[in-house]
Amino acid sequence: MIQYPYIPNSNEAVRKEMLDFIGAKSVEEIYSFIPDEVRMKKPLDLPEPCTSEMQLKKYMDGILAKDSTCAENLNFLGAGCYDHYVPAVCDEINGRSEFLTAYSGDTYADHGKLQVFFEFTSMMGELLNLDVVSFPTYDGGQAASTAVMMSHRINGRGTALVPEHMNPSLRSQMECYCEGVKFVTVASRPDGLLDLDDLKSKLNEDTCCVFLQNPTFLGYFEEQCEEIGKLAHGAGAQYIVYADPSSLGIAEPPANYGADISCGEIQPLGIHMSYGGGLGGYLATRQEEQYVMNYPHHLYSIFKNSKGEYGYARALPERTSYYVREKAVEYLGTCVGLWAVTAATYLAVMGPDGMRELGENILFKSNYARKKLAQLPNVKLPYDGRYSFMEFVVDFTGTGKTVAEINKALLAKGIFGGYDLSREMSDLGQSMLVCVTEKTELADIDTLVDALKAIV
Amino acid sequence: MSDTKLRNFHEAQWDEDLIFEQSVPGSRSLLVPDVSKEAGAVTGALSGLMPAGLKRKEKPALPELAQPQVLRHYLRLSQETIGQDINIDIGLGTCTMKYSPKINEQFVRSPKFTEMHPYQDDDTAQGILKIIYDFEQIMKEISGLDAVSFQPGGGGQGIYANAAVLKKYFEDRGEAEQRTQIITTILSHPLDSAAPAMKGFEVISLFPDENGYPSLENLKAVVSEKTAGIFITNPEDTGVFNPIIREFVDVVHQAGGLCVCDMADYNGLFGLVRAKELGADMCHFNLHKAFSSPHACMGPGCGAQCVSAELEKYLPRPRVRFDGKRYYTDYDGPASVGKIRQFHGTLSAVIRAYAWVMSLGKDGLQTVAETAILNNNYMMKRMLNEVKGVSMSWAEKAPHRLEQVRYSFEKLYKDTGVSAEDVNRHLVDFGFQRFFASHHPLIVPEPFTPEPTESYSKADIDEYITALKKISDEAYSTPEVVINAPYKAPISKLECDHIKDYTELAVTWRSYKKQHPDA
Amino acid sequence: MRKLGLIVNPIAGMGGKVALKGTDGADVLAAARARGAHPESGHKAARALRALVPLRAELEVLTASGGMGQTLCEQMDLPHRVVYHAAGEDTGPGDTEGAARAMVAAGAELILFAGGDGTARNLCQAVGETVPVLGIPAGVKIQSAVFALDPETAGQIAAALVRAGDFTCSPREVVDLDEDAYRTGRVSATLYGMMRVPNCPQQLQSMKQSGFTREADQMAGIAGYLEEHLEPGVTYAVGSGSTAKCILQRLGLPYELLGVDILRDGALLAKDVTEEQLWSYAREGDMKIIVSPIGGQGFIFGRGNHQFSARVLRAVGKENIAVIAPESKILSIAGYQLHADCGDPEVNESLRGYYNVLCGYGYFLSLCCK
Repeated sequence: MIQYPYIPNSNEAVRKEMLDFIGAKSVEEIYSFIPDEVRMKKPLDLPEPCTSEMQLKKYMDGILAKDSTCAENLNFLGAGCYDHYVPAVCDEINGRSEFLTAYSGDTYADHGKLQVFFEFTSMMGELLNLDVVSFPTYDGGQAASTAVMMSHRINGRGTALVPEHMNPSLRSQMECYCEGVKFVTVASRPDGLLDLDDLKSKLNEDTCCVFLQNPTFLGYFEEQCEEIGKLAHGAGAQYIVYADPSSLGIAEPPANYGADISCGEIQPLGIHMSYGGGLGGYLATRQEEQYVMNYPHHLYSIFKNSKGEYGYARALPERTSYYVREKAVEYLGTCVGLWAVTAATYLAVMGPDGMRELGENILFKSNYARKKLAQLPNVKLPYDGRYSFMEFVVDFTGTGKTVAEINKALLAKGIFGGYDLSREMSDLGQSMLVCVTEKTELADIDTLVDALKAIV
Repeated sequence: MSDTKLRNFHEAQWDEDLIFEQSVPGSRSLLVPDVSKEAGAVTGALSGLMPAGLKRKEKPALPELAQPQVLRHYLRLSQETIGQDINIDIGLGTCTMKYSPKINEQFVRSPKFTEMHPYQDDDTAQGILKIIYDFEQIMKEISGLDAVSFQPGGGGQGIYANAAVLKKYFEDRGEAEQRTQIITTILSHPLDSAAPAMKGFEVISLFPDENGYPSLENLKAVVSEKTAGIFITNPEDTGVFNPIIREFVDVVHQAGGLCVCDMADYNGLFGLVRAKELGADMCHFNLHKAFSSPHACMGPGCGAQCVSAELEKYLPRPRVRFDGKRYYTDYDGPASVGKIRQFHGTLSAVIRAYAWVMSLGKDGLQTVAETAILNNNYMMKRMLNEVKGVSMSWAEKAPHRLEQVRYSFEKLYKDTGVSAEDVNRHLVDFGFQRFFASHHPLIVPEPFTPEPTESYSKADIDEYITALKKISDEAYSTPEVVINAPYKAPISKLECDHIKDYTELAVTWRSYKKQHPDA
Repeated sequence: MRKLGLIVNPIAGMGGKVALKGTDGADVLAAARARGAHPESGHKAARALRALVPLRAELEVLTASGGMGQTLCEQMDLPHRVVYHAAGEDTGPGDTEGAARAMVAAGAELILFAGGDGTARNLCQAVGETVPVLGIPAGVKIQSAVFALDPETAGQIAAALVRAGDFTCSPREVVDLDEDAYRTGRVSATLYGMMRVPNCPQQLQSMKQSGFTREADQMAGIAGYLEEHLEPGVTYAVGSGSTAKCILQRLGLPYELLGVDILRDGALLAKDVTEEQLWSYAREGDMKIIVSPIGGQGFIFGRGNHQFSARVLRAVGKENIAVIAPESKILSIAGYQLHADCGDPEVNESLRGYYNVLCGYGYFLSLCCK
């Protein structure tokens, strides 16, 4: 028998001692009560293992070497997963064994973990100007889905109004999840803003919520956000805003322009993209009964004991439903605690000035890229009058080339072009969504512009 | 068996203030390059780049600290947290706390993975796509089923994804109106009822009979033309294996329903029993449990969703395929349930699980299962023979357990007033993480569900048992010692850790300060 | 400082050991004494109170004079205050009621009482659902769902509540048998009302771990599901107790908590019907019954709802019986088994088998009736 490095009791002598104590001749004798009809008849057919760590490392590194990364190329992809700078302290903290390998320990043994969770929700609360923030969920899409379900439970209505140009992948996830809620599209105007007349015509007594992404999926600030909220409230609907936290150092948090439920993605807060694996969702509201009693997530509240020590415990467990509670259930499981730890570290590292500088840096550079790309022949930048944050649309229809062709040509020059919108938003023609973050240098943008000049 | 030495342990107690209280205005931990001049020459001033009404008026009250202070703060809090790496984490049963190999951290922390964007051209992602594809093949063999999605971000989402596929399947067959009921057992994970309910199903739960699992007669009584399927965990959380599972599945199949196995408690079955042999049409595995990906303070995890060939078309998109030369993403899937989660799921868990299986192979996996069974049966004998006040439900008719046991401290509680929760708080004083009691509802009174996975040595188990014996002795001699625990944790007992209503909730510091202006 | 009420019914249980099946009424008590019965309840209360002794510093016991609690508190050195004085040596139902009212007035957060169904009934008469109560089983008849499993468990629950500070309660049934009928071999129980019983703190702990719904939410789910599934033209006989009445509450209709009401097409046809009246509806056909088991013992028929007679149940049939209960009530039922006893062995036999008990919106627990 091999002595497996990860299995201390694969040691023959120890096994014998334990079997003797139990009074069994073999382990097979112990599990012999499993009926034959469900037992495997032959061994698993698996690849030959790399039993030594050295072999395994060589094997795995060999596979990963086939990847060509955003760090090795110039990257202009965003569309829901963003190439932000990850401060070294974030990786240091989330790599700590204590955090990495902890699970559901609670108030005492994992006091430190709970303090970090509390600091995560507290700092998000400051960023969002809201008093209640939940433990983070699977991803922004899950947070948005739960936001819609909360609105559905609060007012019992069954239609969610969503903008035409919202993230289609996000919408797909929300439609799959939100049982009992119908999704109705509100048109965008040609200038990129939401069509308020269309919104008014669709708001009615069945509207549970109006959902807005701000900045929008296409990267622009929705300037009518306050008015949209007023219209929603006028119809008795909840107003949900999905906001990118990397914009909140410079932009007003949704609560300040009337949002009832704020939600979004925490991946920008110090979490690597990891091929889309590094996602986590935040959800926040005012501290009102209808919202608090509607969170399906753990809420860790702070308490003081007689010695004056602060501790944290799961609070108000008897939740998960309110108003039309019985039909709109949700579930709760393992989500993304390590990303709460990471995002807490990130926000502490950045501080208010860091978040502001981050936003300003992105704003300057993405606008720089907009100006430069607008100068390309046969290339159009729609929504000229709009303000963009990190992403914006570039329309290549006039070049006679598809985005797919352009991106192939860019790739040959070591550039990952923007996200191809033509597949899901055909009304935009051959358009790509270009993303510029604080990691993108001005020279990188110039390289992109030069490369495109040669291609189109 | 002899007792081992108990540690004179004390967890770190840094008495660390909240980070807000350490703020020194003006301090910085990270500077962001100023591009206002260079870029501003092209874009114009900042004030023209944002709509005036949306400019943030008040800066967020985030803490302001220099980098060493931030790092030190979170390191101290890490020391007030007991991860699996640092303790004998036998207590958290049903969670399968096993060793997460360090080499696998190198792979998921490699920029070759972390710096990958999910929308990159497939040609630039052949490494990660190969891992997803290869691991799907491995999971097909381990489950015996025909297609696997890694999109679900945890066990709960895995069950939910299976419920979504099941619903879609019956919609396609025009039976969705008719098949409105899911059957599960009261001792399966609560999500086995909550997740199907989320998809609009009615749920019927079966109670165990004197054998520790529901009777076939009971199942037959609830199966009907309304049955869409059964969601079942085997072994259940109690560690009892349902030996008539095939008959269960046959009854449901004959009624036209599907069988969905929750493989959350799979660690004792590698190489012995598969979903296929159990008769399942679908199942899910928690890669952060039996497959060694770390639990990470409650995620990110991955609930690998495995389905039969007939159900493949309903799996969430994208899928990863291989044409013999090249791996590629396939977004096409008109019958798909759509998205369960964005992109491909938690791939760090997939990479670690892949590396873990590749380090063990078929013999290694079977050794994992057999060692988990050996460890648990060794511990069970010591526990029941030596720890006063502990018992095991259904011990008479169902004496066998595989990888875990739900014990009860009912006798201890009746004799001494020391509850399972009191014992739990005291464990940290000996250097152990808390134990998992039970999922809801509490069928077993004063429950306690440890799981000594293959990562623990005989000496580790002996130390755990010695501590429990000590605590039980204290309960009988000086119960208040246990009731007032802990003593060596970062904080002492909270006399009150619950609140009456939402107004007393304080999940943010700003909320707490509003309620306690003097804080 | 926590204020805990304590009432011991000193004569409870005296009839049991001498086969008198209860101790209600002065003549029965005299007969019990004549047969050599000794007070039982004090010993049982002492077994429960043992768990509170270590908590004396945090506790004030509000009790009644002499054998109704004072003597016991003195013996066990529990800090106590006598808030009710019984008039004579032989205490009666009036004393239980008077003591309970005095304890509520003095701010008791929970009343522990040692006795049986008769004591529970007196207590219910006095305080109803105004204050949480917990029974130490010490009587001959323990049919009500307000008792702990045994005296030790009652004590441990009370101790845990004192330590935990905060706790939640659920309404549970108070039933009592007619002792005269019982002595002659007939079982005839009446539902006398509901009292609030604390949920175990352990249950709260498990809720904190898994985030589950409150009983009130489950009840709303049950009512919502029933409402959606009411069929036109069907006559619904709604059984007694606050659980079963949730559907009438949902519809905003009046009801008799302790009786059987008749509902059809969203309207209340009759309130608090007799067996004869119920039979006249059942005879017309198209009747369904909505009942909830009694907590702890699990009877769906034959305890507190004798209007559901053998002929009524035979006419309605098992398939037209909807059993409803919140999850915690089901978990309180010993062995999770339902029972039905309508007096007719043949009908009882036909009621056996599995019921999908509605526990929330579209959520059922499958329980066997034996």
